Amino acid sequence: MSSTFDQLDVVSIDFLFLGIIVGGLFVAYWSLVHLLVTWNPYHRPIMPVVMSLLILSIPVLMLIIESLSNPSELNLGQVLELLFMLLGMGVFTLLAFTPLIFLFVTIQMLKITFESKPDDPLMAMLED
Amino acid sequence: MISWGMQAILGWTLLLAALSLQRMGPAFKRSRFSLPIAALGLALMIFIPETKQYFEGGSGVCQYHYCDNDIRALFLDFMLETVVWMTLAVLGVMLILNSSNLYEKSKPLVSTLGWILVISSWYVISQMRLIDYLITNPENLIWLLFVVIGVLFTLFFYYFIIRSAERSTPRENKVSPLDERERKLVTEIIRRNLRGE
Repeated sequence: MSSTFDQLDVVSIDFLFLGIIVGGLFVAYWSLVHLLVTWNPYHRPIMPVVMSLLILSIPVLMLIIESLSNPSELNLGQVLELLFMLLGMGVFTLLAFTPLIFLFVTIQMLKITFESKPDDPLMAMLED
Repeated sequence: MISWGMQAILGWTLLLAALSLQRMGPAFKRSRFSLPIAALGLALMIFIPETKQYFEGGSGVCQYHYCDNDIRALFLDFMLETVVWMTLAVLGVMLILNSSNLYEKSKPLVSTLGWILVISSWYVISQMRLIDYLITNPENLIWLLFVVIGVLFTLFFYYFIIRSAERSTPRENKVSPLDERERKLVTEIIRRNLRGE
């Protein structure tokens, strides 16, 4: 498994596919956790939960299909390894590129620091 | 024994759960469990166990990435640096927002302190090994692009799934409009809230 990830070339179809799978899994995992934690009688979460589970099962299905040629190699450790690698890459990508978002926030802070208070049209309307 | 990788994923799951809980309910009464759950999640991501050595007893040496000691050290460095810069950044941004003259009178001293924290967090970011690696290898931005495509693609699917779930919900009858007394009452409440009375 480790050699499979190490052999990937940047800007290849495999790399693109892996990136898309990582992004998809990241959203599916986050959504699943969110839907389960915020479960309430006014929600209709069954369809999104089923979709999350389907997306999360894609890599495991791929591993099972791959192992059909060599069934002795498939074990729980490999499944956990695959999920760990894909989810870990998602978390790592999010955290590694967060400084880009912080750059945007810093520019906003600069604007807020030097901007003066605008006239509030709603308050003026109330006075009228 | 749980491996460090599995513990880190569990910690990440608790952080996501805490964020979701924190967004529940009205703004003045958020879930009281979100903060302790977030703290537990963060602790699980930072205080990770070491892998068993070859001479230790047990079920054998783990050869997967999620119990590799070198990756564990890289992960721990990255997490500690991330926690430090994010804490500085959040505190700095809060101070700058509180001291701006958008809501109240300007407070230059608090604003200066906020900017010191923001600049400190940028200093920590500039010292991170990973950021150095990302800057010196710009092709990593292509990786980010692919991940963003995956995220957008999945969100697009969720949009259609949630829309169809919402549409299948039976609609309630329209309520009658406010009468004169109710309209005056609502106007008065909004006026008092806007004036801070």
